[in-house]
Amino acid sequence: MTPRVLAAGVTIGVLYTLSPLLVVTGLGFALVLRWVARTPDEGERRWLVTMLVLAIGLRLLVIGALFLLTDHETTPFGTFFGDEDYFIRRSIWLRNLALGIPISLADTFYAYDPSIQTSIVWPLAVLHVLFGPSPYGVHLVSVLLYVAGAVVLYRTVRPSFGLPASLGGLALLLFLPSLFAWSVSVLKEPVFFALMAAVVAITVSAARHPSWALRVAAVLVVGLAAWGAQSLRDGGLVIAGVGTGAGVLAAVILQRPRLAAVLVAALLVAAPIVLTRGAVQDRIVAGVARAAEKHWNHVNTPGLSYRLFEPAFYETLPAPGDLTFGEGVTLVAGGLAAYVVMPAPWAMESRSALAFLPEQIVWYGLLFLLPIGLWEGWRRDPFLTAVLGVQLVVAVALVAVTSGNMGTLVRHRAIALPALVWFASLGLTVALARLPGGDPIGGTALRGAGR
Amino acid sequence: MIDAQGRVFGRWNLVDALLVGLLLVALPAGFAAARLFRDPPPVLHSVSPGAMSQGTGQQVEIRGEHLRPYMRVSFGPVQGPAFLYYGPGQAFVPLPALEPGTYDIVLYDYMREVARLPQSFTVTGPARPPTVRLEVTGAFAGISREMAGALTGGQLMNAADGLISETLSIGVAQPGVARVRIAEGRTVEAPMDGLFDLPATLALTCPTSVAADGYLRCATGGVVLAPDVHVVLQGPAGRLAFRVDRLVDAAPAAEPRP
Repeated sequence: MTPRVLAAGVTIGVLYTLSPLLVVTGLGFALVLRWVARTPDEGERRWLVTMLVLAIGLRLLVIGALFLLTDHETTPFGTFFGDEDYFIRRSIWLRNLALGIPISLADTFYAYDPSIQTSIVWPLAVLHVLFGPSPYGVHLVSVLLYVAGAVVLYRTVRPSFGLPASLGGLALLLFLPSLFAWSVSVLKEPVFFALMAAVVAITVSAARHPSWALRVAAVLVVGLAAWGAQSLRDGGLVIAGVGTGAGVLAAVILQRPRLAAVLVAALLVAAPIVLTRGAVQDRIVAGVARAAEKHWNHVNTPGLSYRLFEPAFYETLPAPGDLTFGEGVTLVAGGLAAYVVMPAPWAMESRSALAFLPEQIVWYGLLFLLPIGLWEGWRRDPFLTAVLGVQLVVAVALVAVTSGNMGTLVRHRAIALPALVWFASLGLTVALARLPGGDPIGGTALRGAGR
Repeated sequence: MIDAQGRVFGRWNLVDALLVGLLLVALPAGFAAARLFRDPPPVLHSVSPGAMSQGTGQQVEIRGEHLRPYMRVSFGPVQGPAFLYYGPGQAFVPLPALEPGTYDIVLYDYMREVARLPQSFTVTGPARPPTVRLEVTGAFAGISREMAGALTGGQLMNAADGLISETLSIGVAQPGVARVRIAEGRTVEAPMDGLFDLPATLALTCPTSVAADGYLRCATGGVVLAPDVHVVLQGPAGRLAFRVDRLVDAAPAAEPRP
């Protein structure tokens, strides 16, 4: 046994004593990098490994800085966001209850707090049981899930969207500031992202495979993942399950023009009949009223908010029956407009808002490139485009009509970004290629790498 | 470095060398890392004073080692309202509302119990029964026909502040009438269309408390038991309001349940 191996073993032992999850997630990162290193093309492999090492390294530095900068004399552990403190504490309380370790009566009550229902505390509790209370180690698990999910999505889009667009999308996923921030946090976002990435990858892979048994198995797995997404956050089932299913249907229908024409004709005939039914109208009104209530609650939470209605609307919570048709239209149209525009650069005054300005400009750029990417994506791979596109639409719709708080809007917009970045990157690639004398972005830098 | 016979530098057995390496390097390194980064466990030495009489606005001093500002102290199962940190060896805790008795002082960090002083704090006060069992007649007010059908004799229900109700008897449902107090001693009645009042006799086991005026009272959710008040009970299918018409007397002790 060489001295190097011995030294490595000692180091791993010391690190495991300090943080078991550091060693375990380190193994996970090594496996991800090993998977990426199997890329046959040398140029592409070099780009991928470099980006991932940089992404992982930066995130480890940030988490290490959190540990070193936290004053542990006054606070038990540091966090980036307030919700993380709650999730970590609650999961540790659950861990202690499971192991029979006495905790405060108040903590016992809050460990089963019925007002905040999310399944994220349970896997966190399992990690604390297996590896001991790990308020910093769970940040590393978030990073691992996020990075793995990003690589999974890259592998899924790469065969259809090509190298430059895929690398661009991966770079956006790994280094866009808001996504970077969520990826190092102990919030629902990294787990939700990993689940959604798995759903897309499984759906597209099953569609590309000739075996029907595999497709049936994929449906079951996607269903399970959608249930998991719903247990994680409200709307997860709609995005993962309904969004994916509708995407598959859209892909099938839109590739068959005659079938599409028949369905459109049938819709045109059925719509007036269905929409004039009282039960259907009631459901639509109830749905819009629920969205209005969520919007009202978001506007009235602490923090910077934006309003879609007159100030009088926000004085008292409107009853479902009080919402008028015009207000419903305002909610939907205004919500979508706010989703795109907010936070408006011309209204940013605080330092934290101004710090977000560069990313907001990037956001506008991504939206500008989206139609080009959708068009090109449909030309190259209709199925992938339909699945990602419908998920994007569902994610946008769910958030747009319910948001009212700037911080929450920015956070929930991250649900749509993982689908948006691929189309935007593809759109940029195509746009640059169409410029006079243009070359696909990275065409020179990626010379030698395959398409 | 390692020869064909598995000897390190030709002298030491490889396995022996590994064990020595473990002892000389790995264990001290692990120990140093644990000492450097692990928080020392907090210790409780004493609570001062060790006894107090019931009352408000009092606090106790906790003395120990390695205390932290985010810790909490409870007196038995009752958590102190605050933990006023004065340093790693000292903290002050306001006294919560405690019944007379002797309590453990328990110290918690953010996730678990870390230290305990058993039977170290005594609260003295006037002797009084912790609960009283009263028989009250009245009616479950403003309930639906379905709810009325779900209520039967012998049912146990609970309310705020530990009040437990046992239904002794149920009458026949009557049209619902709301009694609204408009002034001291004056009430008006308003019919409640489509709803019913279900007369009943309940035995209420009620925790006692000493009010500001010195009287022992039986109260739930801030409502002192008296005629015309409504007590909110957790029923079989939701919350119910029981309107008290008359407090009869102390009810006999409940039969032990199997």
